[in-house]
Amino acid sequence: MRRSVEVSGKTVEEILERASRYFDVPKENLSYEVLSESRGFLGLLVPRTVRVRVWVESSDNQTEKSEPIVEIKKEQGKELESKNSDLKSEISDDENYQDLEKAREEIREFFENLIKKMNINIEYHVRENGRKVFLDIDGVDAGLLIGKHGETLEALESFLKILLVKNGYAHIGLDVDVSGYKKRREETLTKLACKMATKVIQGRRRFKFEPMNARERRIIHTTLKDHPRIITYSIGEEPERRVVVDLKNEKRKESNPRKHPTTRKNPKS
Amino acid sequence: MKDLVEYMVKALVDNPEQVKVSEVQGEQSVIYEVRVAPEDMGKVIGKQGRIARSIRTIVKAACIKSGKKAVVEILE
Repeated sequence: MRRSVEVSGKTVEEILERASRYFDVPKENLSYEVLSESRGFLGLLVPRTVRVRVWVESSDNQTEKSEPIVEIKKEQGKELESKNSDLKSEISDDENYQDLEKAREEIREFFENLIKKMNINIEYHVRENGRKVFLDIDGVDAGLLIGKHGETLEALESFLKILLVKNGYAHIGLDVDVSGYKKRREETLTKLACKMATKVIQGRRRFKFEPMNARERRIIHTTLKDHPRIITYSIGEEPERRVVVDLKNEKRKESNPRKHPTTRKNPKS
Repeated sequence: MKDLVEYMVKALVDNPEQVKVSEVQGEQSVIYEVRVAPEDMGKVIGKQGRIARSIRTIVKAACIKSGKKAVVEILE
């Protein structure tokens, strides 16, 4: 019977090492075929990655012929199938984790070069928590990377995200923060949203927030989404799009906001 | 600063060897003219100019210390 698996890694040697643990057979019994070699980040110093199909031939099992693994699954029923999918998910988790580590290193390398070229004095820390990559920035010039209303921070984050997508890490999330700016801003907006909700109820008049970016608008929407007497929606177009806080199902001077031409129904916006 | 513009643009495109950045010095500002391969234009500009805007914002931030205004122009 032939069992095979496709794995990505830095070197063929490393992949064989993992595969031998995975199949629980000595490395010598493995055969492999290099499927593709990809360039490292920007084609610079980072090691290339290779994708390899590794398989093992063993004669001790029910099936004598070398067959594709899919066929075997069908013949031998559920037991093997579930075992197989376990193996598969194990490998894919492993790959995800490797991707995350690689993405983290790419972000680190790119950002290191970026700040050198920007000639600014900052400290930073790159980490990953099993799902996402985090870039936390601080230091003397950190303010420069926040910018007016967090503009530079947004630009930096979106730029780095585009790089991740371009280098094949579209599935990996990235979160950039400078001196805890985003966190503080989130707290401020949450408080402000509650305060404005109260004001709208007392004054029976809707309230328009200043224009904000999508992430910040979302914070307001999320904070007030379960409020019994308040609804929120957004009007205008980027970058002037702003959140409106209004009374729910009650009489007010303006017409129903849901009929507002620029209102989108999607509460995420 | 020219290095910075070049580094960012090269990271985005498929043909980094075709990226050309030239610097035009003005009295109060520096203009960086960026030229890329035609098929890479979209990658540098982005949907509704979003990527271009990000590049400009980051370059501007880096120029605050030098006191000179930086303008990034992407040319066909």
